[in-house]
Amino acid sequence: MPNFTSDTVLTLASNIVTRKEENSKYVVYNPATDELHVLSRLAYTILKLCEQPARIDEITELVEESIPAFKCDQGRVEVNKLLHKLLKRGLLQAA
Amino acid sequence: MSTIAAIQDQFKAPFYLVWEITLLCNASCVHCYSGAGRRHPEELDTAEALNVVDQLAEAGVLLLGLSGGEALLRPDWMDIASRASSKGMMVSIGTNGAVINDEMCRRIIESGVSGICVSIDGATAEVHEQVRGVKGLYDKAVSAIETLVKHGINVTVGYTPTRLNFRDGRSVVELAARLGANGVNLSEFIPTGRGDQALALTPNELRDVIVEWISMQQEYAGKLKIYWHDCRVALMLPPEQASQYIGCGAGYVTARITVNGDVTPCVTLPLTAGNLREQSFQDIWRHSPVLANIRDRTTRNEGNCGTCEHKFICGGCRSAALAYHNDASMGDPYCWVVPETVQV
Repeated sequence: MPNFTSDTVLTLASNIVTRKEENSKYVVYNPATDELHVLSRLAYTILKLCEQPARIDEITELVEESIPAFKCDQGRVEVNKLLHKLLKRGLLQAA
Repeated sequence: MSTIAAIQDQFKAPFYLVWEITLLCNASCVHCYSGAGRRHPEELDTAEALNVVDQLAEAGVLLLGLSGGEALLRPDWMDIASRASSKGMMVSIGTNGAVINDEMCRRIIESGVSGICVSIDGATAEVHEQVRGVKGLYDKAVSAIETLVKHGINVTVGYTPTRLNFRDGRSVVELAARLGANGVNLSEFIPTGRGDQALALTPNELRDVIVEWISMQQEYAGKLKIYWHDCRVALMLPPEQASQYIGCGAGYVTARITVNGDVTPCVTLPLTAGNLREQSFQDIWRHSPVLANIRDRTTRNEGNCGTCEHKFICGGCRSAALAYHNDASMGDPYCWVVPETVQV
């Protein structure tokens, strides 16, 4: 997986399908890999923020705005980890 | 379909559901899990079928595979497919390709179908037709793929390795790439329906087939999507990656509806959880003891799967267990990691 910086632009993988479960989790199907992924609400929020191409620092700011608890160093680390996971799973792509 | 999920998650509906909309078929494949040929007298009629579509959409099914028999021989397949796609489901249709032509492609597009899976079970007419039981079907399948590609329809080639054709896998992938298909899917042969145990691969042969497909997935990356539907895929992955898989998705992420409305946990697992003429889909999915039992690996202690360290990333194939032991909770006879006592 390529390294990325705060300027890297991320976008949602094409044609993915999502469904909300009763336990507040989300399930995402990626036809490109034929895999299902179970996501937390935060991971799903990040995914939705990438429906339009967005820079990593923009995504982080938007998460902080919608969930103030993430407005700290640890919060940013967590968001960064999630972005890495979503990229690794092919649900996000570097534009 | 591979699933990256936590085993404790319970899903409100299957993600992928295969529905045998007819058993009428113009081929007589030796490995057919439906035992298809003639139209079934208790086939769901159009009104019942459309009601089922509505129930599946309401439940949250994402991917609907219309199968058979030869699904495209059912006169109202367009009504079913159109209704499902209009309700937001991704609809695919499995076919042997015999009735695909320009007009059929127009109907497929009009119905909102997102992909067609054409079966190719050998890289030559001789092998393919030995499996499919009909002369001339190889050329028709190849022509079908070319026609679908010409119309811009997403095409997957479906391949099921058995003793008759398991050495043809690489050639089938090469053929699919040459014809411009979008992907190739490797299915697992289970001796159910018309399929005989004599067609089954040994565990080591199956392992070698999967190893080759994993290798081809890397070779063809960016050119052709290569999939496999086998619960044992996590056994081939490094532990860090494998830990994210759940293996067998029967009754958990997948389900099947048979031609007369029975709901079963998987296409090759003929255990009836309920019938849609008697119960709603959601009622069956939530309350069927058959499905609850299939999902629960914590109490599964029989055979090689019972004590296996990979129980929660693989779970073993329940269909194979049922086919060989007449009990879906028993060990997996196709496993190469911990051999089962029954030899195939």
